[in-house]
Amino acid sequence: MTTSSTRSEPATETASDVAVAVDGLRKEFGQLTAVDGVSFTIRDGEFFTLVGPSGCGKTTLLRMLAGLEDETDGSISIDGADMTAVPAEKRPTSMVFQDLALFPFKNVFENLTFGLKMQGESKSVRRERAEEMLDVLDLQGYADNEIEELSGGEQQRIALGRSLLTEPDLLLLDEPLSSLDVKLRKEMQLELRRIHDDLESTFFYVTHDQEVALTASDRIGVMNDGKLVQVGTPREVYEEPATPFVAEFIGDTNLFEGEIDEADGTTVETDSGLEIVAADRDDIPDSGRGFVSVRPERITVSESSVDADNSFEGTVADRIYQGDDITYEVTVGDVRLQAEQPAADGDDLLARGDTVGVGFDRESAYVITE
Amino acid sequence: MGVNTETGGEATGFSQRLRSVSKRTRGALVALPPVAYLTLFFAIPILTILSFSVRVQQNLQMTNELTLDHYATVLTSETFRGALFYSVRVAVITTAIALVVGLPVSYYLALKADDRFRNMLLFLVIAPLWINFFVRSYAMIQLGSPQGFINGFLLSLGVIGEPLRWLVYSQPAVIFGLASLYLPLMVLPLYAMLRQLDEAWLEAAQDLGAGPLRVHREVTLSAALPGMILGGLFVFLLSLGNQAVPRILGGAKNTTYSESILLQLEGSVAWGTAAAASGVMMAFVVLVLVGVFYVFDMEELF
Ligand SMILES: Nc1ncnc2c1ncn2[C@@H]1O[C@H](COP(=O)(O)OP(=O)(O)O)[C@@H](O)[C@H]1O
Ligand SMILES: [Mg+2]
Repeated sequence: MTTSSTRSEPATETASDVAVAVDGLRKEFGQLTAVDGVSFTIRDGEFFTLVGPSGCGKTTLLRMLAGLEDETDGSISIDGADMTAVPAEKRPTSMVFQDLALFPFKNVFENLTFGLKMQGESKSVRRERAEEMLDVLDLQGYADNEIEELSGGEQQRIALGRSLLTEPDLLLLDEPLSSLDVKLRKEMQLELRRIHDDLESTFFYVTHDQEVALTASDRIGVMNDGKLVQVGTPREVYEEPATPFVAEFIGDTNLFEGEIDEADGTTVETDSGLEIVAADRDDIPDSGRGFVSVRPERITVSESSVDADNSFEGTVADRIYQGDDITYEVTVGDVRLQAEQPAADGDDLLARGDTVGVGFDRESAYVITE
Repeated sequence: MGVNTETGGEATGFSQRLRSVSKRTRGALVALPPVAYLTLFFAIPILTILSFSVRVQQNLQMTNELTLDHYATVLTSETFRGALFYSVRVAVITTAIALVVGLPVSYYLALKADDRFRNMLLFLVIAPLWINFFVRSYAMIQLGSPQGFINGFLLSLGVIGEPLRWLVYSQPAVIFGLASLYLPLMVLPLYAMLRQLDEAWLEAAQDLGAGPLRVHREVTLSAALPGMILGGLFVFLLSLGNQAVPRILGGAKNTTYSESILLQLEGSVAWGTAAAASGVMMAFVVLVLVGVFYVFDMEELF
């Protein structure tokens, strides 16, 4: 496993692979630092997702990429060209705004082809391109409708189409699905991925919904409090979180703080009194404070004691049935562990108050030293 | 039981009828004041004027004999045609100036001014509507007269060698007076429309490739259009009919259309001609309105 590669970008990418390079980007609003020294690259044709809690600076970062906000410091280059002095209207980017920003005084056709009109395309060309786009968006025959006649999901698609028709090198999407209900959001998300794959363009997608990030993206960046905490594939970020924040924000986890001891393999003496044997890695210091993260689905719960590197005895405190799986909350001493089991072999469900064995292997215990 | 239901049914039917009747009566009662108002102050005067315009006048009496002579007189009269051109020209220029001044002012008010400042500015913009018109006009004359402040200032700076005489009692003075009088009627509808403008639209337009001027043409002007039309109609029609401003600020050279009508009434006591001239003006105004409503689909605008 190449753990370190998830923390900072390797310098091995050739210039032609890189669609976007951001270096030391900062934005201050008076006293407040909204974006705090962010560096990353996006590869050509990549579906890159930025996740982070609301207020962490995602929109501000996106607006700087689009040229709608001046950076306080740092640089942005797109397709190898420095963007510092390039105004928004001249950048090869297009943004799908969080609240869409469709023009209510223009109809669907005029909204869709606004960018083409600015590029000086003739009306007949615009008609043709609009029809093609409406096909892609599955909105055939809507060209002459007014914007307010469309449903939320339809407006969403028009906003996407309006940006796509300008054929941007980089499409910026600011939580474009957040206003939709869950079912439609899931549909639109697959749709987005399909459109991305069809067009082979570069998508920079921003969301506070980590589920979206994990399913649709080639790589994700996790942002917190203005800083980019980690960049990697969804799997890397999930399996090898760089900070306790990432471990807890992406998926559920059991997180313990404690003292690291590298004398004999890697063990962590947690403050809550457990001794956890963890996966060994070169970059773990010999001693000092650290965290250990164990994903609930990696923990086995059983009526008898569990044969694993880490094995404890506990009591079932709670049981949450979720259809395809069951989450047990097991108390071990003062510690509450969450363990997720597939529900299929669950005829003999464990009950509240049962004494059980819980356990997990050292590979499932990931040490975080930040 | 059966009897009970029957009488119950009858009662319901009756009370329903009663209610529907009273509803109709109530409707009529509600409509009565506006209908009465419009009839009294709008329909009757207009119909009177129109009937005067097609009747022969004998001394100070309108006879019942019909004629089109009054219209012929008005339409062939050099004076009336000149006055109409003058009035329309003044109204058009006034409207254009009100638009050019009103757009940036209302844009600033609606989108740039912070809340406290905005209220103060709105108050100032509306000021012409409540500061006495004559006071303002005479103040303007004081400022613009050859011995007035403006000329004095420009002379002392050496910008001009002798006083500018066209600052008062001239067509520019009339236009300036009208524009400043009616500017609020342009600014208020524009402001109302631009308050609804979302700055994200400006950003979206820019993001899609529109430069600064294009953004305003495509977004700001589109959003302001209904306000421009409403404000434009207000200013144009009121400027066209205004008599006081040209009387106070205008020179002796030009006579407005309204003034020409007044001269017919007061000078020649030619009621028929005056009525026909009014009819021509009404026809012109209706034509303008129909034209505007035809070009800009009203349903779309409001
Ligand atoms: N124009 C602005 N002026 C002042 N503060 C701002 C402005 N825009 C954003 N902020 C602040 O910057 C921080 C990051 O905001 P934002 O980028 O919108 O976060 P996110 O999109 O992740 O929710 C927030 O604390 C927000 O209040
Ligand atoms: Mg945001």
